[in-house]
Amino acid sequence: MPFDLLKSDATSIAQAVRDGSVSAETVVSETIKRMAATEPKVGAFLQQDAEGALAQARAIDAARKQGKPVGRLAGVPIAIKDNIHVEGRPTTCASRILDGFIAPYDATVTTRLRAEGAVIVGKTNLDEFAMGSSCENSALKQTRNPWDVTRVPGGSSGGSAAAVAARSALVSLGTDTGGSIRLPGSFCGVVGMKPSYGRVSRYGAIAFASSLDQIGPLSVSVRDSALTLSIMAGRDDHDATSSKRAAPDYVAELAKANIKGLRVGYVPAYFDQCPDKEVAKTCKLGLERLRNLGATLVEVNLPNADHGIEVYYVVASAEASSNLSRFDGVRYGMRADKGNAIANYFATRGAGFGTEVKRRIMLGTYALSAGAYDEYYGRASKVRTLIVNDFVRAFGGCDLIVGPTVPFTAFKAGEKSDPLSMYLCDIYTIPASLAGLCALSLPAGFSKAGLPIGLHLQAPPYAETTLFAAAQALERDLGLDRLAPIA
Amino acid sequence: MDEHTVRHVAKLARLELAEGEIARLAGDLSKITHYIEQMGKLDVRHVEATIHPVVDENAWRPDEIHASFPRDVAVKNAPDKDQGFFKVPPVIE
Repeated sequence: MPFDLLKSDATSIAQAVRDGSVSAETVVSETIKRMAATEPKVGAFLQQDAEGALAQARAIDAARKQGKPVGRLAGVPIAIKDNIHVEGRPTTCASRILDGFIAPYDATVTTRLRAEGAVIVGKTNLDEFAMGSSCENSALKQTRNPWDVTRVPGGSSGGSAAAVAARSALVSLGTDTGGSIRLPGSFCGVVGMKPSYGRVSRYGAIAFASSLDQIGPLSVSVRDSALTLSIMAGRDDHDATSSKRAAPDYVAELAKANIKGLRVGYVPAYFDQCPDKEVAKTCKLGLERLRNLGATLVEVNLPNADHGIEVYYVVASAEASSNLSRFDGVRYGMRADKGNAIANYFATRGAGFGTEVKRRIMLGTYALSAGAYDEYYGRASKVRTLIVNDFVRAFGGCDLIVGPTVPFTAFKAGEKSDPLSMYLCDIYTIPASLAGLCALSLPAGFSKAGLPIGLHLQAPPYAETTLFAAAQALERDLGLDRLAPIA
Repeated sequence: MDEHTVRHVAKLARLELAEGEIARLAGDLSKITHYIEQMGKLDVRHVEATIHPVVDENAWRPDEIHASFPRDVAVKNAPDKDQGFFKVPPVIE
């Protein structure tokens, strides 16, 4: 059977490359063709590397012919969000302040994926420094949603979600601080997964908010998500926050999975008060399907989770104001030269950062400043505890909490000009980030307008196995055709 | 948040702002902080702060010498450098 990129997932490609039924070179050259056809409309990539990808693919084919192992992602075209290092390539964070910066080393996730035969085809667009929910805050490019190119792909990992939705990559990496993998996953009809805090090394990812950031995969299928995470997860001495807990083989765990008797929690208000009735209805149907598959539904209460947005925009901005102080024109990126070091800091940062990044730095600096600290950062850190405790209590009575990923479907480019209305997009995804949970957005259906709707599955820290089991059972039961029309 | 506060915070953040930006930020940040102040109604008097969601114990490593990042690679991206050092203009004239 001839190779069909559009009917493949990473798991099937890696299998076919390993057993020799298709060459890695064929897979990659088909991907490059696909990229050439879709990119003019979608604009997911900030950089493409056709030559490097083809060379890597040929090396995989040569190794296979010599009987050498070629890896669990052999020949799989992957895209990497442009705030994660790939040695020798620019890392822009979609910001002007990193103009001219070339990554001096590979991120740990890059090293691990490459070692398993993944082929990096390019680096994807994002909201500048991953701050945004629509990808419109990129200083470099506008990415469009493959399901409707007048709409946004979501953010901040919008390029990564759009690339997989367009099949110009089969897996991509994103980063998620408050929903930046799950929201674009929902808007673009792909599986977007945020691992538990500490599950994946962040060495080589540009820090935004260090108590929240995680790297995770966006993929065509749940099994691809499990496969990619299996490769990335586990302790890395370069990141002190990466956990020493053994990383399970999530693929092997999936084969044993059974969701009979699984206790699935849901917050009724997330459905009843969801502003988009189509989203509420689709997600409710997903919940009912889980019950039909043998799960038990349990009503849960997260009384403080509604304050997640307030906590998040204090905590994440405070941490960002600290993390982004390193961009000062001394060690990397652009420098606005005023002839004096202190004047340079002001001028470089003023010229290099975009509007949203400045807003967050200002908000975060204010929240940490004398006089405001107690009422903002101090209080937010305590309310965060209340939210964590809500989850601890809820997970005492259930294994999983399910609801909509986003209260609505992808909106039109330019539609949300008010920063606060953009912040509210993350209302359902933020609490899991604050509590360090693992969470996943699964395509659960479509609106009448043909836009994807994501179902949000959340599990306790390090319960990724539960998450994947439920997501795959539901994915199979739904049997959706998830190929974007690109129009 | 008034423009005076915006100027003060921008100074703390080492951020140059144009006049138009100052006015806009005063408006935006007022709206955002007003929204954030909703959490003020929660009673947190007896609540401990959560500053990270790490569920593991602290992780120690053996005190061993390892090769560090090569110096020439570390300074490679600097806008100005000299003999393996970052070069900056004077702080004090």
